[in-house]
Amino acid sequence: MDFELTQRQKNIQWTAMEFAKGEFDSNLSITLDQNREFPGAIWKKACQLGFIGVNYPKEFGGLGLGLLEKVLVIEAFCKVDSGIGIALNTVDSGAAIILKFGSSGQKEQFVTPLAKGQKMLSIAFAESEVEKDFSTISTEAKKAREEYILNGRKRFVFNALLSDAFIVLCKEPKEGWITLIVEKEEGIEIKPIQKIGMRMIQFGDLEFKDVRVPIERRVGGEGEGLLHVNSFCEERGLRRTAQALGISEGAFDRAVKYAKQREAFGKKLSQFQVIRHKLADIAVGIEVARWLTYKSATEYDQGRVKADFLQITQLEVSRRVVRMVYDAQQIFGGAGYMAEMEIEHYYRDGVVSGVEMGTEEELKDSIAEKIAGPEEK
Amino acid sequence: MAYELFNDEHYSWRQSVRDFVNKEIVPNVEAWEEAQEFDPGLFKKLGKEGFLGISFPSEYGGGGKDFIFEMILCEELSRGTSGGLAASIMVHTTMATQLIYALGSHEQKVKYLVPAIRGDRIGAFAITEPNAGSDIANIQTFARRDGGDYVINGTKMYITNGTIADQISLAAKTDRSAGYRGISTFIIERGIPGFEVVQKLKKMGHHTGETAEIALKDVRVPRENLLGEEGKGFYGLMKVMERDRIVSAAISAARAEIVLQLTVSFAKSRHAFGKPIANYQAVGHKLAEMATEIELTRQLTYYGAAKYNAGKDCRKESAMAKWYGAEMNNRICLQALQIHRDLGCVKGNPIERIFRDARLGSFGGGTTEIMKEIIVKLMDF
Repeated sequence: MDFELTQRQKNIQWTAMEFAKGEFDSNLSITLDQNREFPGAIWKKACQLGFIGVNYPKEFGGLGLGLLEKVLVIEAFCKVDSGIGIALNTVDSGAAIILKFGSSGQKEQFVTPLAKGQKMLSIAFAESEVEKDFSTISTEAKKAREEYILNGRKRFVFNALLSDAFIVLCKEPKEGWITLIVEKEEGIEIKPIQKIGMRMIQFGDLEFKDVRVPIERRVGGEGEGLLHVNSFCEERGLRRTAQALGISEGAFDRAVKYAKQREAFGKKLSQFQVIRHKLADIAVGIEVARWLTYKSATEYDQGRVKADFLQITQLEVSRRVVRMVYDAQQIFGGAGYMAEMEIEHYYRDGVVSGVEMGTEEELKDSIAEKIAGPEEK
Repeated sequence: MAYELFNDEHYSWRQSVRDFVNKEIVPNVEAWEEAQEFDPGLFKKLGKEGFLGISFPSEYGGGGKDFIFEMILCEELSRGTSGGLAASIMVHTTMATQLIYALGSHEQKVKYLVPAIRGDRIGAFAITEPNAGSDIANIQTFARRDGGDYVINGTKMYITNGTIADQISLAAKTDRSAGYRGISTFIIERGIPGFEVVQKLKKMGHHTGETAEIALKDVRVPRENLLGEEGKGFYGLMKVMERDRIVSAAISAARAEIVLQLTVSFAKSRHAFGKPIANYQAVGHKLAEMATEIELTRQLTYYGAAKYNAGKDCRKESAMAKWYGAEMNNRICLQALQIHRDLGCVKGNPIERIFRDARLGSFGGGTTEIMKEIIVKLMDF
């Protein structure tokens, strides 16, 4: 057992941190958050330096490293700014599906441009707020000669307005569950949704009305759709815990700084025991989140990740992040409620990150199944 | 649930406020929140209905009712799901005008309280400064005596109604070396030379509320604008804060109740994996916990309210209910988001707005930590 990052991992972490410190600006970030704008220029630069494709193979524009290295980059970005960090973590949702199950043509066409900063990709699985309840999914693809005719509606799609293509989960009457790569220009209707947090990316509902998708856009084989979704959710889950970890660290840094400079009753806030203990609690939470995330990512890269450990990781990190950003904001008092303070968007971003990680009940159901056996219906 | 605190008159009052809220406020909430401002004409309507002065004596145009009526008013306003709007009215009725009533002379009441009760003049209440929030004794705004006048200099921060107020009930130091005993209170009218609204502040929630930073540069007011005696403002402020804390706790419970109602109806109607969400045992228990916590808050709040109404000391109960209510409200909003998943995070859903609004509860009117400081000092060891 070795709990040290390798020298190369440390270098990646350092480089990501230096990049973020140099490029992310707190005023810019507050403005982008308020105006619900995407940090386009920063995204382009991040791609040039290889940060988006860290874990893609070199032949598809990546650095050929693992998910742990990607986790380190996401963590660093979110630590320096939650909004920009989240935005850069959502530009390539679903790349993992194409890399794992797609053809080399699909990889070249859809993954390489993600690494180069030419395109963005997102996933479209859910049709209700209960993403994993596949019985609610009615989007249908009908194969007709050289194409699929796609009809249906997807909800809560990340980065819906800027993505150039979506990986869509649907059912084909003969082929069963499949995933298709659908390009935006093929006639998708997008209705934007605004959320409490993560405001630099736009969410949206997608509608497909007789959208024609060439058959070579099916990822992998017939009946593999749910396999793709479940495999993707492992990678996404870890990227989300990395995001929550970085957000917690960033909120912590700001709370420490504020507590050391703000005075009340003749002394610094950092001299009050209750405030000091809040900081200690956050420090504990960060360590818990970090080591659960790093361990899971390491096992993912080694191909021995266990579903229940991933769920334990997600459950605990989602609970922790909400508490950590809450405590951090509390230290600021009324000032932390103002949009001009970074902690204000850290709080909203942290809460949404926690909620996105899955409901407590669903995660506990899965963990409990390993412990107590399946629930009788 | 029926509460001993309320008689039939209280219940019918609650219903009439609720009807007004449903008719005049609820249909406008989305638009006001989006615009981050509301129709100030609403104050005149509220005045006409007799809402703004319900607990003041009839000689000043008030309703002559007890404090419980005022608390019910604020509970019902909060049910309109715009925390900013409710706070705007609450600051007017429970803080700004109350200070004038508590400390002002008969002449001051006629001049400032009567039009405020009618809704012709909007009030604000200003203690907090950029460098003095919880630490009230440390305010820097200073009122220097100059002949028969005072010349006031300073900056006030996070002032609800700051951009729209016609008159501000304001705390300033008249003796820098005397701590709490150096605090005096004044009434400042908008438009007086040297008075400036520096900026309207952007906040996480309370978007309908008009929160501002205000600067006073050599603002000259006559002695008639001093509320109460020089150096004795602190006690008046504390009395108003006590009232505010009870009302604030009642608002937390009312707001949490709305969140619970929305969540229960959601959980009963939405399905996950083949059955309504509410039919899952763990979700059911969560709903039960939410209901319990709301009831705990309410019982404590109403106990404090009864004491306050009877003129008894309720500093401890009001501080307890205030912090517990605010934290409870935040916990319940977070639980509700979990149960609603993505749908709860989406703008346009009242849960999303209440979540952002409720967060102010643990800072505004004294932080959770300050409430605990007050409580521990009042405990007999």
